[in-house]
Amino acid sequence: MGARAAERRGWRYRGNVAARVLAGSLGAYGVAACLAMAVARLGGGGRIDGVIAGTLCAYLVVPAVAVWAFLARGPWRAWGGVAVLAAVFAALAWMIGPPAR
Amino acid sequence: MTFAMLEFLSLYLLAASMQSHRGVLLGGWRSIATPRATVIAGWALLALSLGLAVASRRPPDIVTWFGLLPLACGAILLGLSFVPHLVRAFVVAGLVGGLAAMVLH
Amino acid sequence: MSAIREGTRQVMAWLHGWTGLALGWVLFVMCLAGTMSVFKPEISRWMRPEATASAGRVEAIAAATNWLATNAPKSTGWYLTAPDDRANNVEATYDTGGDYVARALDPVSGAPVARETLGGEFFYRLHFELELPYPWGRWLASIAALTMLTALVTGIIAHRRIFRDFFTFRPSKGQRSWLDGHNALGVLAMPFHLMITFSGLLTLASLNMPWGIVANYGNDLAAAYHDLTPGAVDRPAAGRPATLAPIAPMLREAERRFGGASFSRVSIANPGDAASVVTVYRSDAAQIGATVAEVSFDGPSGRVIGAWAETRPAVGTYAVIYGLHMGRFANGVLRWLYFLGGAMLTLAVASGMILWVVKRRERAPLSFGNGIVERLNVGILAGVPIGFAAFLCANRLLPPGLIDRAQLEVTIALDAAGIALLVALAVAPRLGWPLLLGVLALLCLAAPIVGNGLTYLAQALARGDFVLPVTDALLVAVAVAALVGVRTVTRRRSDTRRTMRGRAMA
Repeated sequence: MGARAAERRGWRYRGNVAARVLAGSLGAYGVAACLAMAVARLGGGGRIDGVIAGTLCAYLVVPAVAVWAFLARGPWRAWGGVAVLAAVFAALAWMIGPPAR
Repeated sequence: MTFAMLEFLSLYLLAASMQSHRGVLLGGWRSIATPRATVIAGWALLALSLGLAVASRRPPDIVTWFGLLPLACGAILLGLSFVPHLVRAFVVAGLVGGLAAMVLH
Repeated sequence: MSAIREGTRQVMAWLHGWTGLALGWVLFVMCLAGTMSVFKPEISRWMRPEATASAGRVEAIAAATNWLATNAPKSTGWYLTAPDDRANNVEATYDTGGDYVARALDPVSGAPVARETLGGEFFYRLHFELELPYPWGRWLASIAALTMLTALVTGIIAHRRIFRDFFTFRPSKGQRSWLDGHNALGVLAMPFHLMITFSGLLTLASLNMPWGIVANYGNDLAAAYHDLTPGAVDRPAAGRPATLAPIAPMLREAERRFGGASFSRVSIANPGDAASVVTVYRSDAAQIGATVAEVSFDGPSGRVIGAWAETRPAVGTYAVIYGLHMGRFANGVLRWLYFLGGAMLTLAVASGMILWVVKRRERAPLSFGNGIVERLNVGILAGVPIGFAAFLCANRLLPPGLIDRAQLEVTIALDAAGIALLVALAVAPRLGWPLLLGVLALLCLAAPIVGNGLTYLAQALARGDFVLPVTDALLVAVAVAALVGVRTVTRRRSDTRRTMRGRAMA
């Protein structure tokens, strides 16, 4: 028990936690923002309909990514997942391009 | 009103299906009301109460159904924690009172 | 293996605890203020006890615009909310050359009501602006709401026996009881908690998640707002003066176009200008969806220049989710159920903060950091309600004609909470809890009485108005609860001392 407590005060552990916190907060928000853009451009119907769908999806994804950031096997994996998701959604949004009118 | 009463009854039954609460909530009915029977009855009545709320075609009724969940569960919880011997009496009295109100209205 | 803890539930429990601690106090303020806001119009009536005049919607708005035309002619916009079955005054926001002011206007004369106060609006604004300047308050509220969403999800995953423990509450067992209570408050009203958090985030979406708009509209925010409410016309001022056409015919025409449904909000942009626009919004009270229809009129002529009744599924969904958060459609029992949900969420947050301390105190004497957390708990969980009670007392005690009275009430509220917080940080919690809870009880008992409170109560009962009596009864109930809290805290102390003395003597 003493060894585990000591390990929790070590810098390695703190770095682990800090990296995951950033992934689960700023990273999660970044993924959400990219998803909002992708779904907004994907959405059938008018421009505003897509925006609404995208915004709703974005809020759902924030806690999901936050949970992932802490369940991933390590802080690098956590950030890896976040980066991949954000990149995929951003690329999707970019490829679809802004809607007409 | 109907779906509200059904909701309360169904949640009471679900509570009564649990091993730790069976004795207090069911008393002499324990032999007839097996855990399996009470669980099925509880969920069935809960689904029925939700169905009635949806069928009323008034959207606020569905919101009310959800809003009554914490009230009913909280009442049962507090009853079980502080006056367990009175919970069954209150549920019966509530049902009788609700039925009377509906009939007289 | 660089997991934070061993096992999924342990990680989730760890994350749930820290996310809760990080913004728990902010969330407590938001939840408490939000719960109070369920009864925003009723609180406003309690805080303007002499303003009992009433008039029809159309007449009241007409009176208001007449007064504003004389007293705020150069305003960039008048934003009015019509009276309805819950409120008898016109709530008006307008500017007189400087910042916007919020006033209640008498429905008969159109002039501001004698007792200048924010009323229930104080709790409503506090709920999503946290008394911070734009946009920082709303940003903090948004971050707190996202944290709350994460805390709810991690709490659900971490809770091992969520169904088996459903009806479990074991009182008087220290940490166990606090955990049972926290779980019950969270789980039993989970649909409400998830709905209110998610919908709350959506109400601030233009600030905290504008990326959909950026992707589809780029910089053109005006186009996005136009697409959202196509019936609301937004056009720049012409720079030429013109008088506003009579507003009553416009309001009646709007109601005709709403299929007979009432209007609630009226906004007049650039009222003294040739390009003024009057936009009339359908009331939120008749259906769940908020802002489902609007009609715009050319100000000087009264001609219809825009009209819309929402039929699009996506925008309709947005309106329903928004409406679920505002809860204006809920009346009777449902309104009280909203209040119950909000109260349970507030208590869930509070019990979580207390559980953090109790859990650690049962293991070992508190570390310095957790000692600060314990004192902050006292200061905020008891201090914020003290601030609210002080707000109500100040409303009754400050003379009606005072300049800047509304702002002074708010200052008194914030100062009272601030002093309570400082006291809680300075004294030991075993003294802080009974002291602050006692002060809260005193203020809650004083509020219905001071400043002619009993006279207003008698007058309200005489005319069959139940808002004042019920509010006073609730204040007394809070006072009783606070006194019960004092007794519980002090009795447990003497119990522990007796046991320890017994152990020492044995």
